[in-house]
Amino acid sequence: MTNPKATKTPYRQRAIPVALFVLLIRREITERYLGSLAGAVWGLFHPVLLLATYGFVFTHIIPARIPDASFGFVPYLALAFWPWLAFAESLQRGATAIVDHAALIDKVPVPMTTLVLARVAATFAVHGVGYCLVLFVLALTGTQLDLLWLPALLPYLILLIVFTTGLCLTAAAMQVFIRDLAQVLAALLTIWFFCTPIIYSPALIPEQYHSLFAANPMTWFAEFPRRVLLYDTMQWTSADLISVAISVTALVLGYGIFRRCRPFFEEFL
Amino acid sequence: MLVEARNLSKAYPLSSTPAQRAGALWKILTGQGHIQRKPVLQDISLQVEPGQSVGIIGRNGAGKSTLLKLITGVLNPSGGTVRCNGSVGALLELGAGFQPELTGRQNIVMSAALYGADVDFIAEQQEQIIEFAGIGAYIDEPVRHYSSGMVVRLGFAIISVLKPDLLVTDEVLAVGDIAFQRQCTRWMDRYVSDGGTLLLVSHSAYHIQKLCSHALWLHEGTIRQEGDPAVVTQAYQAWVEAERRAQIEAKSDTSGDHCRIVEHQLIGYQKSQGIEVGQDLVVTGSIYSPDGREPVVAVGIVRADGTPVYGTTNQAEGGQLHALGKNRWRFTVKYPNLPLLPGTYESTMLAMDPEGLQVWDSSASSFVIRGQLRQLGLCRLRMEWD
Repeated sequence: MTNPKATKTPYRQRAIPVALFVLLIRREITERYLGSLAGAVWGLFHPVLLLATYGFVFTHIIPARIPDASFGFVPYLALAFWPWLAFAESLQRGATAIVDHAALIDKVPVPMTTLVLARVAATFAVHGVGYCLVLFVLALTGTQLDLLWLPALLPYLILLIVFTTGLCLTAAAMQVFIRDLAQVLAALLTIWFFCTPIIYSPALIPEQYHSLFAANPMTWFAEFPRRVLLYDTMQWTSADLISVAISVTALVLGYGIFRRCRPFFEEFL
Repeated sequence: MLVEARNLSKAYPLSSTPAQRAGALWKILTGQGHIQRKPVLQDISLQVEPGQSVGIIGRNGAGKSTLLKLITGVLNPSGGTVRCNGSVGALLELGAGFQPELTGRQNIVMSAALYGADVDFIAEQQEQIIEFAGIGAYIDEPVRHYSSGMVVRLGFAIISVLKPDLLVTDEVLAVGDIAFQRQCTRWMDRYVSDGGTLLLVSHSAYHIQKLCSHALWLHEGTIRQEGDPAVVTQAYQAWVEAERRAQIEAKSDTSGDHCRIVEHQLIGYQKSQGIEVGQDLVVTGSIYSPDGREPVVAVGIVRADGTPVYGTTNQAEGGQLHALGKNRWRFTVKYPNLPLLPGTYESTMLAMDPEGLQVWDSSASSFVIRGQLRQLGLCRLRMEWD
């Protein structure tokens, strides 16, 4: 044993617990995707399987029309599908980030925001890799992707993370008080999926519903990668600005709600 | 000042139905309305200077753990303030902060990160932690496979390397085996003498008196008494004793058809200390007798493995029972210079009818004889060597 008055101190005060954040992300990924055979299958093949199924159904059974398309349905779907997957899974995992750590929170002072952020980051990391793989495979199999525009996806991705984090913080805080929220959320996400132009083109939406779909922030998030990589049209529209505003608002609001509820978490866990 | 608590209080919400919880969320978000709460800790002021050791006693539910959790920052105060100017290590309940699915080794890193310690430093010290814990190959097993003793070993080993400015602990050490307890006590002694600060919750007056320079008696969420550990622990023990007696009095009034043992006590015996070989042991008991006649009492000693050591009745010995009211009889019996060898024993007692024919009730109370085991057998016999 060394002298307690050793010159080296093990404590290093940091505003953001980076080490803990990295550890939590690593644990989340190992636990969910690499920990078991089923996990690996889930992480890698489940999205591919879903994509294949949707591709089959919407190409051969109910042929989907994509207006002015020089490409097949599969690349069209894939480009919007992965961002949605990352969003939906983050929201579901993030919602239970606090309640899942109830035992820990009861014993050690834990930076609560880090728990939520780690789940979002881990989910985005896994599906980000998946997205890159899918783009790579699509490019290899002859889809005309305008890969010059690929860097434009980076701010898009950041914006999606900002939006998702805002919702996750809200959901995680509310989940502490309302325990059925996670189940409700799963059902809501399914409905939300079908209300977002992911498996169909927004051009097919009847005129009278346009404003309704425009009010859905995920419409923009589904459309952006297609617009950039498939349609090759990079014109800034007011929708882009609105999406930035919505995402930032979601984060500010979400963090506000989270911070307000945080002191009460331990009492309701 | 390392720890400074001012008028600290904590109250928990009463609401538990889903509707009430949703209501609480609404009240928190709007900042309007009042959440109904039940106080568990009220108006606690406490100052701990660096190098001071403070012991906290009180019966279960007095708010001891709540106070520790407020100081470590796990709980937020409902009123008042608490400040801690330094690193805090907490060794509270079992498995504090361990993730059951991670291995011991992974948990070392995770714990360090949770304590806000430098992960690189911990990586360097990992071997030392593993050596201190002494759990062998289990270090690479998931923590959920650990025995409670192993969890405490690992937890303590991590703390021993982190050397926090303030160590907050309760009686987790009682879980480990004797060798590990000694290792921990040694470490704590050194930690305290090297200027470490200790906040210890214990039921054991002995530990508080040995390790602490200041004691605090919590009672129903408030400080009942504080000051010199010897004075406070004695006052607390006297109170516990009085409470216990009051309970017995309340219980003994109820009737019954048969003789019944109301009380069986080893006077002055403390579990944490045991007794030394050759010390006196005093057993006292009281018996309920339905018809008020004097019952017969058998007393004796049995070793923990069931081997009888000695037993007899008051009838055979001519021992007196003293009437205690209409239906109760009390006796006290002393074993002077008890020559039992170190080990665990039970003081046993049987209540028989006045004729000494039928046993109606029995009771046992275990005790430990401490000392070094140099001889074989049950008890020391007087020998005279030529």
